[in-house]
Amino acid sequence: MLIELNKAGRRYHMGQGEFWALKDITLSIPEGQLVTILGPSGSGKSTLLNIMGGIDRADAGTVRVAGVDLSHASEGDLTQFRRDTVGFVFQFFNLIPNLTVHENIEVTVDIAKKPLSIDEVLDAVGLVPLADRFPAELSGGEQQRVSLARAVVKNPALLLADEPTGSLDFATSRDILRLLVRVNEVYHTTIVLVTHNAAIADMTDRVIRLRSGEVEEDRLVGRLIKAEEVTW
Amino acid sequence: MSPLLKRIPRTVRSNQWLVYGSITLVMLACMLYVSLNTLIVDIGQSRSRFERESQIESATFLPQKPFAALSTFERDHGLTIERRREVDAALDNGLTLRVFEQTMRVDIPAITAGRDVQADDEMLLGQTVATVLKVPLGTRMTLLGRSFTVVGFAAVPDYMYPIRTTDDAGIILDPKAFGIAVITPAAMDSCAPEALATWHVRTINGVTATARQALDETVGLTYWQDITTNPRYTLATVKLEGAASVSTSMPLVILLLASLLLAAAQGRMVRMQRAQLGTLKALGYSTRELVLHELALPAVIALSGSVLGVLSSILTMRPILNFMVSYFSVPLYVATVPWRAAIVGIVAPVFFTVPAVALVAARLLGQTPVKLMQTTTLSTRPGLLERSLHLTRGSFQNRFAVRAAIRGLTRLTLLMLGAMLAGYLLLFGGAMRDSMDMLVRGAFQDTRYNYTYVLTAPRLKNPWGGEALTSVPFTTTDGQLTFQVTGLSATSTLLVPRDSTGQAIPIDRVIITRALAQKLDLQPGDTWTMQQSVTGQEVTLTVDAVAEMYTTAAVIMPQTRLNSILGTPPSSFNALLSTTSLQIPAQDVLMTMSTAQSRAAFDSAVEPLWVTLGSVAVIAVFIALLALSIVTTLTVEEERVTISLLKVLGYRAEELNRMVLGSGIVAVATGFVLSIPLLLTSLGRLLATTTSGISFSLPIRLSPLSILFCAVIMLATYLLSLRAARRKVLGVQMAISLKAARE
Repeated sequence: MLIELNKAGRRYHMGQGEFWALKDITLSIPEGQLVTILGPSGSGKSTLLNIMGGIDRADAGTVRVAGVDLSHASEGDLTQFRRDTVGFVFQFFNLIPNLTVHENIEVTVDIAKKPLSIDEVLDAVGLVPLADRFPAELSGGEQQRVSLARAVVKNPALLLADEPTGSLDFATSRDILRLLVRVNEVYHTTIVLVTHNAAIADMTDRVIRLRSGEVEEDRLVGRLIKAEEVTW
Repeated sequence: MSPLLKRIPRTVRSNQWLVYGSITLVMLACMLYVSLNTLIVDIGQSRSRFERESQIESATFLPQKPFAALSTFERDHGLTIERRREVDAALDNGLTLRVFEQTMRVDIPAITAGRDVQADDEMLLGQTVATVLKVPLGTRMTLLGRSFTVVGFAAVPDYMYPIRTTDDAGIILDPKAFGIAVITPAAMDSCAPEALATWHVRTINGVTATARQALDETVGLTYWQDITTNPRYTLATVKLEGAASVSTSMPLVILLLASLLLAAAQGRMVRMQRAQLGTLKALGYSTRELVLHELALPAVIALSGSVLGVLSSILTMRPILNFMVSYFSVPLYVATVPWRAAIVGIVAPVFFTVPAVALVAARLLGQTPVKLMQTTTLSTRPGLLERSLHLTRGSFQNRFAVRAAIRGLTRLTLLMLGAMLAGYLLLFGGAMRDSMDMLVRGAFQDTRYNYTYVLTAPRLKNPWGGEALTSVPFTTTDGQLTFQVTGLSATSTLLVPRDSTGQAIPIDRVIITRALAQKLDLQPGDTWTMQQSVTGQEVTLTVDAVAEMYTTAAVIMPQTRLNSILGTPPSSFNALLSTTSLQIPAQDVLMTMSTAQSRAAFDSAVEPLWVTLGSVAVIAVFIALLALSIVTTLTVEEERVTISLLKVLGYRAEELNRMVLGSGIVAVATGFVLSIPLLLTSLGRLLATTTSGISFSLPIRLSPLSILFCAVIMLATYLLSLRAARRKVLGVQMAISLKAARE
């Protein structure tokens, strides 16, 4: 198993009281699986993703990803884990504005152990002609493709995408979803995709539905539809 | 209270380093400005009153014969003339006191503490000696074999800068070794009846030409010195006037730079709040209301910094003034902060900061609320320079740092200004040290004698030994500068002038010192005309060589040639140089100078210089640290989304530091390098102005060692600020990048 969570929980302090954003989450995700995490706002989707990606820590239970115990890892170990194992795709792309497309991808290559060729990845996401452009000169869809290329280029074992289509129109969103599926198929990358769009779940292997910080549903879907068929 | 105003204390709490750092920077700059102005205004006003009330002389002279009817002469020519006897008394602790008899009409001692002498066993002690040696009133001192009680401290106007001798290396003040004292005429009669008597004349309007002519015709003059060419007066006035020009320009520049830094930092803070401002604008706040609100914090910072600065200068005023009057013997009649300096000190930071921030805020708020809310940070659009830059070589992290530098060009300019300011102050210290060192080496490399004796009258025979020479004061034809012309024997071994390469210059030609060459802008081959001080005889000479001597403006030429110009016999002389002490009767000696004393005075003068330089360095480091911290804080604040993202991607703290803050070293280095020509140019202009009327010139030197030393301090300061920034970088939450929405 690539990801194993056992009774994982995450607590936030709110004024005098406390609030559990995640409670007793127990699940495992094998290598190569394309998983959707669904749920309404405040259900704990992003918190779960952050814990899996080593940018947040669980307050209860254990979290083990790619053999690393993230619950007890030091800050340095977590940094190393993120360097070697995880790729992130954000809802708002989070590209560095003063770096070109090529350089934005290079940001990951620079610290990756065995990165893929930037040109190959640029080609795969259809960005070769835009390699010297700056983010502000790109459309939202193009920026998200750069973000995806930046995550993929390090050839990570795990790719975490938080609402990757959340700020895109549906045509562009389909394009991004198609690319995600392709990455999963070509590089055998495990992908965990957070969304509140239930339609996306049908194009993935498995759907985990959260409500109020708990797993409400965890079922295999088996890629019922193709990315191009996702509707909004 | 308006809910908007509640944001201010919260903004202060969340940006403590930036706010308190800015307040401290303004406070320091303001304190420097107000303190220096206080110093100059108070001492300037005290000096004017001192000169007026003490009836300062217009000139000192020695007559060849006694006055037949002094009071008639005074009345006929509108002059006040008084004779004053003086004798040097050596004390056991290495201190020499020049003891004057009390005068009543000219150069009247001003009592700075205690009371005037009334009995013959009472004395006044010079203010500088009393301060430096911490002598209390009532102390019993033995002078000239007799015991006196110190009943008061005094300042004498023609010894405002109390130095032992007025020639060569004697210009350096050493209050631990030399001072003045005043006793009654009756006490002088009994202690030192043979004491040297000098005459002091005060004219009605200060003009001395007609008085000198009348005196020369009546009693014949063997010696004449205008007060305006007397180093014991001019060194004080020149230094005070020089300090005045420094005190009005340098601290004002520092105050302006500090205000600029504050304005820039506050402007950036306003821009960082664009999303909040957009929201407030959307809620219905007008641009005017929001601009006014954004001005509150910078105004509070500028005002509190400047008020604290003025208060600190009030607190430190007394010790600084006392320190100054321990060097310049001027009674401290005025000791208040001048209201004009206090107002400028308080208003200037507000005046420069508030409009600058208002401009930034007004420009920003000119955008629509939607536009403002779209971006949470600064503009994400790369500028023309960034777009035109195609970086392909070097490591990624270095290229990233270059892009970060270009993106933060304004920040780097600020950093460069801060480094320039700190570098200027640091190098100022270095240049002072090097210049002093050069002056000292120049003063002693040509001298192999230990004693100089100036005789009361020219002689033809030398029964005392030593090396005989002729030394006569001359002035420029406009009377602005007085200097000695020395006639040396061709075989002189005790005074060997050297050129810039260190080679001895033979004494068969007209040699001028570097100090004179600089003042009169003369070079070898140039011809100029000078005037003998006493007789007014004009002499034209051609410069053959320049000797590297900075401590005295002088001409050295063959003795026979000088005697021929003066119309005296070829073997005539009026001074002696000697390696050992000579036994010359006191009545034949006008003045004795000891090189050892001069050397000790130099050492003593350099000692407090180190304290001054150390203080300047500490202030420089503090300013640099504040400027660097403000800029690095801004950088981390403005780049927090990028930092957060890079952390998420797996970059380590040290890598982030190098990439985001690494380019700062270029700005710091550039600022430091630019401060070198800035310092040399400004210092050169300043010293040329302030030493124009006196007989020495200060060489401006900045050695590579000093530059290296200052560079190391700057680098260490920069690394220290980076250490603090590292903590800030570590503190950036990774969650920021996850929430960030950008254009």
